[in-house]
Amino acid sequence: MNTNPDETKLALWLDDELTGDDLAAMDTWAADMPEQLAAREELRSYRKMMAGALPASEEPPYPDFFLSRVNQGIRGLQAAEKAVASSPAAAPFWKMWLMPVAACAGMVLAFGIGRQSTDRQAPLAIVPVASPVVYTPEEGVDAEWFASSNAGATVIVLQGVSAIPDSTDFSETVYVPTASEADRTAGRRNQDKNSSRQ
Amino acid sequence: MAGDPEEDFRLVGLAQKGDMRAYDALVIRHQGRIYAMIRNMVKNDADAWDLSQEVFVKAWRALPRFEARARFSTWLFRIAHNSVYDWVRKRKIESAGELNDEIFNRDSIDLSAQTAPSFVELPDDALSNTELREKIEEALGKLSAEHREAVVLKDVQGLSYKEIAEVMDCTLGTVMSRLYYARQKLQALLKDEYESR
Repeated sequence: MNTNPDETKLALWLDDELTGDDLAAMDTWAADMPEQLAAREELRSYRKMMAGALPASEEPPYPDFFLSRVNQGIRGLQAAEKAVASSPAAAPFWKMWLMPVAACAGMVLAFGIGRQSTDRQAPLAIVPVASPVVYTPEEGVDAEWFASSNAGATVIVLQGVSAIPDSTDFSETVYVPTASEADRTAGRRNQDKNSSRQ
Repeated sequence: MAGDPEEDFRLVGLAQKGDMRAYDALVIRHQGRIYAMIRNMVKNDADAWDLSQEVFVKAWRALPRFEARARFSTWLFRIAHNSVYDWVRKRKIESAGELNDEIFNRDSIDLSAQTAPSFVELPDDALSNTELREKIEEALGKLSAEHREAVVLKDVQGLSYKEIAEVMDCTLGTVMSRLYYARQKLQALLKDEYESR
Protein backbone atom coordinates (compact mmCIF):
# COMPACT_ATOMS: atom_id res chain seq x y z
CA MET A 1 0.00 0.00 0.00
CA ASN A 2 1.37 3.37 -1.04
CA THR A 3 1.28 5.67 1.97
CA ASN A 4 3.32 8.45 0.39
CA PRO A 5 1.55 11.81 0.50
CA ASP A 6 0.78 13.66 -2.70
CA GLU A 7 2.89 16.61 -3.78
CA THR A 8 0.36 19.17 -2.56
CA LYS A 9 0.16 17.73 0.92
CA LEU A 10 3.91 17.39 1.12
CA ALA A 11 4.43 21.00 0.03
CA LEU A 12 1.88 22.22 2.59
CA TRP A 13 3.57 20.18 5.31
CA LEU A 14 7.02 21.51 4.41
CA ASP A 15 5.69 25.06 4.60
CA ASP A 16 3.92 24.43 7.91
CA GLU A 17 0.48 24.99 6.49
CA LEU A 18 -1.13 21.77 7.65
CA THR A 19 -3.21 21.54 10.80
CA GLY A 20 -5.20 18.93 12.70
CA ASP A 21 -5.45 15.40 11.39
CA ASP A 22 -3.57 16.18 8.18
CA LEU A 23 -0.60 17.48 10.14
CA ALA A 24 -0.64 14.52 12.50
CA ALA A 25 -0.74 12.07 9.58
CA MET A 26 2.14 13.80 7.85
CA ASP A 27 4.21 13.99 11.01
CA THR A 28 3.72 10.26 11.48
CA TRP A 29 4.75 9.61 7.87
CA ALA A 30 7.82 11.87 8.12
CA ALA A 31 8.97 10.53 11.48
CA ASP A 32 11.27 8.02 9.80
CA MET A 33 12.08 10.28 6.82
CA PRO A 34 15.07 12.29 8.01
CA GLU A 35 15.62 13.95 4.65
CA GLN A 36 12.08 15.36 4.70
CA LEU A 37 12.46 16.56 8.26
CA ALA A 38 15.75 18.22 7.29
CA ALA A 39 14.11 19.83 4.27
CA ARG A 40 11.40 21.26 6.48
CA GLU A 41 13.98 22.65 8.89
CA GLU A 42 15.91 24.25 6.05
CA LEU A 43 12.76 25.84 4.77
CA ARG A 44 11.94 27.17 8.21
CA SER A 45 15.40 28.71 8.46
CA TYR A 46 15.05 30.25 5.04
CA ARG A 47 11.66 31.76 5.89
CA LYS A 48 13.05 33.10 9.11
CA MET A 49 15.95 34.68 7.25
CA MET A 50 13.63 36.23 4.66
CA ALA A 51 11.22 37.52 7.28
CA GLY A 52 14.12 38.98 9.24
CA ALA A 53 15.66 40.72 6.24
CA LEU A 54 12.55 41.91 4.46
CA PRO A 55 9.86 43.44 6.65
CA ALA A 56 6.30 42.43 5.87
CA SER A 57 5.13 45.94 6.66
CA GLU A 58 6.87 49.21 5.90
CA GLU A 59 5.32 52.56 6.51
CA PRO A 60 5.27 54.48 3.24
CA PRO A 61 7.23 57.74 3.24
CA TYR A 62 5.16 60.75 4.38
CA PRO A 63 2.26 58.63 5.65
CA ASP A 64 -0.03 61.62 6.29
CA PHE A 65 0.53 62.88 2.79
CA PHE A 66 -0.01 59.34 1.56
CA LEU A 67 -3.46 59.23 3.15
CA SER A 68 -4.39 62.68 1.88
CA ARG A 69 -3.31 61.67 -1.62
CA VAL A 70 -5.51 58.56 -1.41
CA ASN A 71 -8.43 60.76 -0.35
CA GLN A 72 -7.66 63.17 -3.16
CA GLY A 73 -7.66 60.28 -5.62
CA ILE A 74 -11.03 59.10 -4.31
CA ARG A 75 -12.49 62.60 -4.62
CA GLY A 76 -11.20 62.80 -8.18
CA LEU A 77 -12.77 59.44 -8.93
CA GLN A 78 -16.08 60.55 -7.43
CA ALA A 79 -16.05 63.72 -9.52
CA ALA A 80 -15.26 61.74 -12.66
CA GLU A 81 -18.05 59.26 -11.93
CA LYS A 82 -20.50 62.12 -11.38
CA ALA A 83 -19.48 63.64 -14.68
CA VAL A 84 -19.96 60.31 -16.43
CA ALA A 85 -23.34 59.81 -14.74
CA SER A 86 -24.56 63.16 -16.04
CA SER A 87 -23.19 62.61 -19.54
CA PRO A 88 -25.55 61.60 -22.41
CA ALA A 89 -24.03 58.14 -22.52
CA ALA A 90 -25.23 57.52 -18.99
CA ALA A 91 -28.83 58.60 -19.71
CA PRO A 92 -31.62 56.06 -19.39
CA PHE A 93 -32.56 54.00 -22.43
CA TRP A 94 -35.70 56.01 -23.21
CA LYS A 95 -33.71 59.23 -23.05
CA MET A 96 -31.30 57.86 -25.61
CA TRP A 97 -34.23 57.57 -28.04
CA LEU A 98 -35.82 60.82 -26.98
CA MET A 99 -32.73 62.88 -27.71
CA PRO A 100 -32.56 62.29 -31.49
CA VAL A 101 -36.33 62.77 -31.74
CA ALA A 102 -36.04 66.06 -29.89
CA ALA A 103 -33.14 67.05 -32.09
CA CYS A 104 -35.19 66.32 -35.23
CA ALA A 105 -38.15 68.26 -33.82
CA GLY A 106 -35.83 71.15 -33.11
CA MET A 107 -34.50 71.07 -36.66
CA VAL A 108 -38.03 71.02 -38.10
CA LEU A 109 -39.02 73.89 -35.84
CA ALA A 110 -35.97 75.88 -36.83
CA PHE A 111 -36.66 75.15 -40.50
CA GLY A 112 -40.29 76.29 -40.09
CA ILE A 113 -39.28 79.48 -38.34
CA GLY A 114 -36.69 80.05 -41.01
CA ARG A 115 -39.23 79.64 -43.74
CA GLN A 116 -41.68 81.96 -42.03
CA SER A 117 -39.05 84.57 -41.59
CA THR A 118 -38.06 84.10 -45.24
CA ASP A 119 -41.65 84.56 -46.29
CA ARG A 120 -42.02 87.76 -44.37
CA GLN A 121 -38.77 89.32 -45.34
CA ALA A 122 -37.16 89.67 -48.69
CA PRO A 123 -33.82 88.00 -49.18
CA LEU A 124 -30.89 90.31 -48.61
CA ALA A 125 -30.21 90.56 -52.32
CA ILE A 126 -33.78 91.62 -53.05
CA VAL A 127 -34.41 95.08 -51.82
CA PRO A 128 -37.94 96.43 -52.22
CA VAL A 129 -37.52 99.53 -54.32
CA ALA A 130 -41.00 100.69 -53.54
CA SER A 131 -44.03 99.26 -51.81
CA PRO A 132 -46.68 98.94 -54.46
CA VAL A 133 -50.05 97.50 -53.55
CA VAL A 134 -50.64 94.40 -55.63
CA TYR A 135 -54.27 93.78 -56.25
CA THR A 136 -55.47 90.19 -56.37
CA PRO A 137 -59.11 89.74 -57.34
CA GLU A 138 -59.38 86.23 -55.91
CA GLU A 139 -59.96 85.81 -52.18
CA GLY A 140 -57.29 83.95 -50.26
CA VAL A 141 -54.57 84.84 -52.67
CA ASP A 142 -51.66 86.79 -51.28
CA ALA A 143 -49.23 88.57 -53.46
CA GLU A 144 -45.78 89.85 -52.56
CA TRP A 145 -43.65 91.97 -54.74
CA PHE A 146 -39.88 91.91 -54.76
CA ALA A 147 -37.42 93.86 -56.78
CA SER A 148 -33.72 93.23 -57.00
CA SER A 149 -31.67 96.07 -58.31
CA ASN A 150 -28.61 93.77 -58.53
CA ALA A 151 -30.41 91.20 -60.67
CA GLY A 152 -32.45 93.84 -62.46
CA ALA A 153 -35.56 91.77 -61.84
CA THR A 154 -38.94 92.11 -60.26
CA VAL A 155 -40.75 89.12 -58.85
CA ILE A 156 -44.32 88.84 -57.70
CA VAL A 157 -44.99 85.80 -55.59
CA LEU A 158 -48.55 84.59 -55.45
CA GLN A 159 -49.59 82.27 -52.65
CA GLY A 160 -52.92 80.49 -52.48
CA VAL A 161 -53.55 80.32 -56.19
CA SER A 162 -55.49 77.20 -57.08
CA ALA A 163 -53.99 74.83 -59.60
CA ILE A 164 -54.53 75.80 -63.20
CA PRO A 165 -56.70 73.16 -65.00
CA ASP A 166 -55.17 71.44 -67.98
CA SER A 167 -58.16 72.50 -70.12
CA THR A 168 -57.22 76.16 -69.81
CA ASP A 169 -56.51 77.68 -73.23
CA PHE A 170 -53.58 79.95 -72.60
CA SER A 171 -53.98 81.55 -76.03
CA GLU A 172 -57.04 83.37 -74.64
CA THR A 173 -54.92 84.88 -71.94
CA VAL A 174 -51.99 85.80 -74.11
CA TYR A 175 -51.76 89.39 -75.13
CA VAL A 176 -51.27 89.55 -78.89
CA PRO A 177 -50.55 93.05 -80.03
CA THR A 178 -52.34 94.39 -83.16
CA ALA A 179 -50.34 95.36 -86.20
CA SER A 180 -50.60 99.02 -85.39
CA GLU A 181 -49.56 98.37 -81.77
CA ALA A 182 -46.67 96.37 -83.00
CA ASP A 183 -45.65 99.24 -85.25
CA ARG A 184 -43.28 101.50 -83.44
CA THR A 185 -44.48 104.50 -85.36
CA ALA A 186 -48.12 103.84 -84.54
CA GLY A 187 -48.06 106.17 -81.64
CA ARG A 188 -46.62 108.96 -83.74
CA ARG A 189 -49.26 108.48 -86.42
CA ASN A 190 -51.97 108.67 -83.79
CA GLN A 191 -50.45 111.84 -82.50
CA ASP A 192 -50.39 113.18 -86.04
CA LYS A 193 -54.05 112.26 -86.48
CA ASN A 194 -55.02 114.04 -83.32
CA SER A 195 -53.07 117.16 -84.25
CA SER A 196 -54.63 117.25 -87.75
CA ARG A 197 -58.11 117.05 -86.17
CA GLN A 198 -57.30 120.00 -83.98
CA MET B 1 -3.50 45.95 13.75
CA ALA B 2 -3.89 44.80 10.17
CA GLY B 3 -3.87 41.20 11.34
CA ASP B 4 -7.37 41.39 12.78
CA PRO B 5 -9.76 40.29 10.02
CA GLU B 6 -12.85 40.86 12.17
CA GLU B 7 -11.96 44.51 12.67
CA ASP B 8 -11.29 44.76 8.93
CA PHE B 9 -14.77 43.41 8.16
CA ARG B 10 -16.35 45.87 10.60
CA LEU B 11 -14.53 48.79 8.99
CA VAL B 12 -15.33 47.52 5.51
CA GLY B 13 -19.01 47.37 6.42
CA LEU B 14 -18.91 51.00 7.56
CA ALA B 15 -16.89 52.11 4.54
CA GLN B 16 -19.35 50.39 2.21
CA LYS B 17 -22.02 52.63 3.72
CA GLY B 18 -19.95 55.67 2.81
CA ASP B 19 -18.01 56.16 6.05
CA MET B 20 -14.77 57.69 4.81
CA ARG B 21 -13.23 57.66 8.29
CA ALA B 22 -13.63 53.90 8.36
CA TYR B 23 -11.94 53.70 5.00
CA ASP B 24 -9.13 55.93 6.22
CA ALA B 25 -8.68 53.50 9.10
CA LEU B 26 -8.45 50.62 6.64
CA VAL B 27 -5.85 52.49 4.62
CA ILE B 28 -3.79 53.18 7.73
CA ARG B 29 -4.07 49.55 8.83
CA HIS B 30 -2.94 48.10 5.50
CA GLN B 31 -0.76 50.72 3.84
CA GLY B 32 2.41 49.28 5.37
CA ARG B 33 1.94 45.76 4.00
CA ILE B 34 0.75 46.92 0.61
CA TYR B 35 3.63 49.37 0.30
CA ALA B 36 6.15 46.72 1.38
CA MET B 37 4.77 44.17 -1.05
CA ILE B 38 4.76 46.60 -3.99
CA ARG B 39 8.18 47.95 -3.12
CA ASN B 40 9.57 44.43 -3.20
CA MET B 41 8.00 43.99 -6.61
CA VAL B 42 8.92 47.23 -8.36
CA LYS B 43 12.16 48.06 -6.55
CA ASN B 44 11.52 51.76 -6.64
CA ASP B 45 10.29 53.79 -3.69
CA ALA B 46 8.55 56.50 -5.70
CA ASP B 47 6.75 54.04 -7.98
CA ALA B 48 5.82 51.91 -4.97
CA TRP B 49 4.40 55.01 -3.26
CA ASP B 50 2.29 55.93 -6.29
CA LEU B 51 1.16 52.37 -6.95
CA SER B 52 0.19 51.86 -3.30
CA GLN B 53 -2.06 54.90 -3.47
CA GLU B 54 -3.54 53.61 -6.69
CA VAL B 55 -4.33 50.33 -4.94
CA PHE B 56 -6.32 52.07 -2.21
CA VAL B 57 -8.19 54.28 -4.68
CA LYS B 58 -9.06 51.22 -6.77
CA ALA B 59 -10.03 49.32 -3.63
CA TRP B 60 -12.37 52.12 -2.60
CA ARG B 61 -14.00 52.00 -6.01
CA ALA B 62 -14.39 48.21 -5.85
CA LEU B 63 -15.46 48.19 -2.22
CA PRO B 64 -19.20 47.74 -2.95
CA ARG B 65 -18.31 44.45 -4.66
CA PHE B 66 -16.14 43.17 -1.81
CA GLU B 67 -17.63 40.12 -0.15
CA ALA B 68 -16.28 38.67 3.05
CA ARG B 69 -15.27 35.42 1.38
CA ALA B 70 -11.61 36.36 1.58
CA ARG B 71 -9.66 38.42 4.04
CA PHE B 72 -9.61 42.10 3.25
CA SER B 73 -5.81 42.00 3.15
CA THR B 74 -5.86 39.19 0.57
CA TRP B 75 -8.32 41.17 -1.52
CA LEU B 76 -6.01 44.21 -1.32
CA PHE B 77 -3.04 42.09 -2.37
CA ARG B 78 -5.07 40.97 -5.37
CA ILE B 79 -5.63 44.60 -6.38
CA ALA B 80 -1.96 45.32 -5.75
CA HIS B 81 -1.05 42.36 -7.96
CA ASN B 82 -3.14 43.78 -10.83
CA SER B 83 -1.72 47.28 -10.38
CA VAL B 84 1.86 46.01 -10.38
CA TYR B 85 1.33 43.88 -13.48
CA ASP B 86 -0.33 46.76 -15.31
CA TRP B 87 2.64 48.91 -14.36
CA VAL B 88 5.11 46.25 -15.52
CA ARG B 89 3.26 45.93 -18.83
CA LYS B 90 3.32 49.68 -19.37
CA ARG B 91 6.99 49.83 -18.52
CA LYS B 92 7.71 47.03 -20.97
CA ILE B 93 5.85 48.86 -23.72
CA GLU B 94 7.51 52.18 -22.90
CA SER B 95 10.98 50.68 -22.74
CA ALA B 96 10.29 48.43 -25.76
CA GLY B 97 11.84 45.39 -24.18
CA GLU B 98 14.48 47.24 -22.25
CA LEU B 99 13.07 45.80 -19.03
CA ASN B 100 14.05 42.20 -19.40
CA ASP B 101 11.79 40.66 -16.82
CA GLU B 102 12.15 37.06 -17.75
CA ILE B 103 9.08 34.94 -17.41
CA PHE B 104 9.64 31.32 -16.65
CA ASN B 105 7.22 28.92 -18.17
CA ARG B 106 7.78 26.04 -15.85
CA ASP B 107 4.41 25.76 -14.21
CA SER B 108 4.47 22.08 -13.48
CA ILE B 109 6.26 20.45 -10.65
CA ASP B 110 9.03 18.08 -11.56
CA LEU B 111 7.94 15.01 -9.60
CA SER B 112 11.44 13.66 -9.53
CA ALA B 113 12.74 16.81 -7.91
CA GLN B 114 13.09 17.29 -4.23
CA THR B 115 9.86 18.90 -3.03
CA ALA B 116 11.60 21.85 -1.45
CA PRO B 117 14.88 23.34 -2.61
CA SER B 118 17.71 22.88 -0.25
CA PHE B 119 18.97 26.01 1.44
CA VAL B 120 22.32 26.45 2.98
CA GLU B 121 21.63 28.40 6.11
CA LEU B 122 23.22 31.79 5.87
CA PRO B 123 25.12 32.94 8.91
CA ASP B 124 23.06 35.90 10.08
CA ASP B 125 25.95 37.19 12.09
CA ALA B 126 28.20 37.44 9.00
CA LEU B 127 25.90 39.79 7.20
CA SER B 128 24.06 42.58 8.86
CA ASN B 129 20.35 42.72 8.26
CA THR B 130 20.77 45.73 6.01
CA GLU B 131 23.38 44.01 3.91
CA LEU B 132 21.37 40.82 3.81
CA ARG B 133 18.34 42.77 2.77
CA GLU B 134 20.24 44.35 -0.08
CA LYS B 135 21.47 40.97 -1.24
CA ILE B 136 18.03 39.44 -1.07
CA GLU B 137 16.46 42.40 -2.85
CA GLU B 138 19.08 42.17 -5.56
CA ALA B 139 18.43 38.46 -5.93
CA LEU B 140 14.66 39.02 -5.97
CA GLY B 141 15.18 41.55 -8.73
CA LYS B 142 16.66 38.81 -10.88
CA LEU B 143 13.56 36.65 -10.61
CA SER B 144 10.65 36.87 -13.00
CA ALA B 145 7.71 38.92 -11.78
CA GLU B 146 5.67 35.77 -11.08
CA HIS B 147 8.42 34.06 -9.13
CA ARG B 148 9.29 37.21 -7.23
CA GLU B 149 5.68 37.75 -6.27
CA ALA B 150 5.26 34.16 -5.11
CA VAL B 151 8.28 34.53 -2.83
CA VAL B 152 7.22 37.94 -1.54
CA LEU B 153 3.70 36.79 -0.76
CA LYS B 154 4.75 33.52 0.81
CA ASP B 155 8.05 34.18 2.51
CA VAL B 156 7.70 37.87 3.34
CA GLN B 157 3.98 38.44 3.72
CA GLY B 158 3.23 34.97 5.07
CA LEU B 159 0.21 34.23 2.92
CA SER B 160 -0.95 30.64 2.53
CA TYR B 161 -0.73 28.81 -0.78
CA LYS B 162 -4.49 29.19 -1.19
CA GLU B 163 -4.36 32.91 -0.59
CA ILE B 164 -1.47 33.32 -3.05
CA ALA B 165 -3.51 31.42 -5.64
CA GLU B 166 -6.35 33.91 -5.09
CA VAL B 167 -4.05 36.90 -5.32
CA MET B 168 -2.22 35.69 -8.42
CA ASP B 169 -5.36 34.22 -9.97
CA CYS B 170 -3.87 30.79 -10.60
CA THR B 171 -4.12 27.25 -9.32
CA LEU B 172 -2.58 25.89 -6.15
CA GLY B 173 -0.27 23.73 -8.26
CA THR B 174 0.98 26.76 -10.15
CA VAL B 175 1.73 28.55 -6.90
CA MET B 176 3.68 25.55 -5.65
CA SER B 177 5.57 25.30 -8.90
CA ARG B 178 6.43 29.00 -9.00
CA LEU B 179 7.48 28.98 -5.39
CA TYR B 180 9.62 25.94 -5.86
CA TYR B 181 11.53 27.33 -8.81
CA ALA B 182 11.71 30.80 -7.33
CA ARG B 183 13.23 29.52 -4.11
CA GLN B 184 15.61 27.34 -6.08
CA LYS B 185 16.83 30.27 -8.14
CA LEU B 186 16.96 32.54 -5.13
CA GLN B 187 19.08 29.99 -3.35
CA ALA B 188 21.51 29.82 -6.26
CA LEU B 189 21.73 33.60 -6.52
CA LEU B 190 22.31 34.10 -2.81
CA LYS B 191 24.75 31.24 -2.65
CA ASP B 192 26.88 32.69 -5.45
CA GLU B 193 26.88 36.04 -3.78
CA TYR B 194 27.77 34.52 -0.47
CA GLU B 195 30.61 32.41 -1.83
CA SER B 196 32.18 35.34 -3.69
CA ARG B 197 32.75 37.22 -0.45
